[in-house]
Amino acid sequence: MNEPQVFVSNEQYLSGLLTTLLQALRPRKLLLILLPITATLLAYGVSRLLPPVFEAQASIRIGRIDGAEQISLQTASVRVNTVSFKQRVLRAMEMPNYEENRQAQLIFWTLSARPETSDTIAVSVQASSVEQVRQVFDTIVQLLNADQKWVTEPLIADINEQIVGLDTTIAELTRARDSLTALGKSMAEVQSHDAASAAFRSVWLFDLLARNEQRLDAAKNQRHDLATRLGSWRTYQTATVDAAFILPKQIAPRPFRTAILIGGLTFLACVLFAVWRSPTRRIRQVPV
Amino acid sequence: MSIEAFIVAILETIAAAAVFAAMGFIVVRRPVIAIMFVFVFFAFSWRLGSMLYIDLSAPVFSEQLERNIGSAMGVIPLAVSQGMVLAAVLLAFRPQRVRALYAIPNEPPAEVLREASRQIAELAFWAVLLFVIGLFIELLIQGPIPLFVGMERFDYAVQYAGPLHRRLIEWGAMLTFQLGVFFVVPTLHDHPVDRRFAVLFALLMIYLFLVGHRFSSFYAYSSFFLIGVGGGLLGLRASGRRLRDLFNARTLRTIAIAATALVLLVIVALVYSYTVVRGFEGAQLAEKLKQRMLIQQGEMWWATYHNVFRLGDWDFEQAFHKLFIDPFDPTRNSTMQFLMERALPEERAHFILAQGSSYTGGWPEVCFELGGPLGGFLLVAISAIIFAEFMFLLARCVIQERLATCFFLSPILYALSINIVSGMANSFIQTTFVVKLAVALIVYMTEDKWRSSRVLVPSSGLSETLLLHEKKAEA
Repeated sequence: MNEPQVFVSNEQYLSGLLTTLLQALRPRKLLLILLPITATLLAYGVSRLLPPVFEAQASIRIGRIDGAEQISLQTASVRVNTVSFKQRVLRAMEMPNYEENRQAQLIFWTLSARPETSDTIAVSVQASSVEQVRQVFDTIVQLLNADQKWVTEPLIADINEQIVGLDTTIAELTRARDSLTALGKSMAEVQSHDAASAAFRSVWLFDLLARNEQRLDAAKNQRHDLATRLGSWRTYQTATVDAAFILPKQIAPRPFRTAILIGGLTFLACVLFAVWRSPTRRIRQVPV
Repeated sequence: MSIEAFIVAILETIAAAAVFAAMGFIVVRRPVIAIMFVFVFFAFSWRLGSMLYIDLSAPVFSEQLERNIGSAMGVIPLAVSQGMVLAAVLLAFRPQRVRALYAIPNEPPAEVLREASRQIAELAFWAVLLFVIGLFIELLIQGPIPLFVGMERFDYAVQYAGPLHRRLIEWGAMLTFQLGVFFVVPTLHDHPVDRRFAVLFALLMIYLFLVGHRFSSFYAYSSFFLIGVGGGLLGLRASGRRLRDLFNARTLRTIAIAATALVLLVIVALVYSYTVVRGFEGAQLAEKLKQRMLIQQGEMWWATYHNVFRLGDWDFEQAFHKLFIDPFDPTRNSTMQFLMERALPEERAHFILAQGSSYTGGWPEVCFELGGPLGGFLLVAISAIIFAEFMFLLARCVIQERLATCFFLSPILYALSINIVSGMANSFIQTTFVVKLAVALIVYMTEDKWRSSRVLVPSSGLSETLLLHEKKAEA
């Protein structure tokens, strides 16, 4: 018995699939047009009503005392990422009940830090307003500085105390030098009968002056060293880099993008529904 | 060795041996399924073997984790997880279910499918040939050839690679899957395999060799080629034909030669990479190879086992957040990024990730990081069932020559395969993945409708004249 021969060319195969698809879509033209358009418009409208979300990333330079990091970058990043630190940030921003406050939740869930360069960490956060974003960065800086106060303040106070002590010493030594210089001058003016004792006194006076000068130089050097330790290039607080130039960007709502996405997905869902519900057309053997 | 350690070692060896035996069973008794699952089975075997080595030789130093690892019962949960996948595969591909695939009622006549397949294969061959020619031309005009100048493939990709190279790296595995399908589909109509597609595949392998790729690319591309081939061969088995009928001595010889050439290519590429490109030699080379082959495959699982099972240190919220909401680099596999952050000092993990590198593993680690020691097994079971059922669907599409659907299912195949080997989960929440899934479903249903429309429905009259429904409507 001869089997019926049906050949399907490539064109027929692909065009057949396309035809099948179009046949499935044709009866549901209205659905395919109206529903995605409605969904698009609805998504556009709803997303415009959603509260705005701003995002920014800041580089925070970790403070140093006498050239040494107050805390390592890794520790600072980990600390900022901890739940307790985030809660402290929110409390400092007067949003203590973060579980009931959506704005606070947004900050809580999006605040994250990671090491960035050899002396900065990158902190990123999302918040409901530009001011809030800036406030978060300021608060983080304040808290990181506050956390290090117990180390930095005593150390700085101790160094300052040493500087004051040295200042006193320097003042005393300067006064002593002046007195010795004055004494030397007066001795030179007075004619002595005993040349040997006069020479001896002069030697003694020069020796005193030299030793005084040595101590004065040593004290000045020591003061300079201490002042250097507190110099702005070796000791500084944690601060945001270029804080004035951080511009939080609005990342949501993006009504146009959301509308296109929702519209596209709705269209795909409608096509899926149309193909699923379309009847199967069969080839029939018909009598001649 | 203490008695306790000895008992643990015995238990671990038994668990690993059970998984290897199950794989051996599949290779011997269901070789076609083994061909389809080469990608997964190979990764599983290597990881399990590596983990067994780490635990039995503990403590061993891990270069990447920078610490001593091992000495625990990490092999057992890994073996159980892999065993679940094997069980899901055997269940999905049980013989009666596979046979039922072939004996489908309401299928269009073989001539319809044969001609459609032939014509589509022609189109595919010329399209891929043009692409491959374009790749080689691009390689010649773009800059140095990495193999000849000792350049790393990453450097070539960043500094010199053209658009075609990037497309290949992005879609290559899916392309080779299609080549495998077209290679084997003629056999469903008692024709010999279409060798033109094997040649295209070989050309792609040579290209990868030239641009400095080593083992992983050859492994992935070959495995995806075999998934397509396995799907077709499953159809042959289901129809009651023997593979021996298809593969005569000459064909088998050709395949053996090709496989040997591929293995040699991989060995040469590996040796060249380690000794020439990276300049390792002597004891350093031996240590590097030991780290690569015996330790790196299992170390991330050891880290997860150590954290989750021994320390009870896991947190669903943190894992979910780092996997899906705020990964280090959302454009890449977030699972390994998260695992590296857990296993290494965060700064070091980020440094390595920023270089574009990452470590090996990810599944079943991701399941246990999300679900903990018990919930993890549930997630493993769910991912195993989804993967096995999807592979069955894919095999069904190859056997039934639903070529359009096969084409649109390949990105989903890639995502699921990468998930079961590397644990990548963030691809599933991308909008593009949802779109790919919806399009694949639409194409599947459309092709189904079209195929049904090609089925002959007997009417009251007895005639051999065919009239299309559409033609009738036109008349």
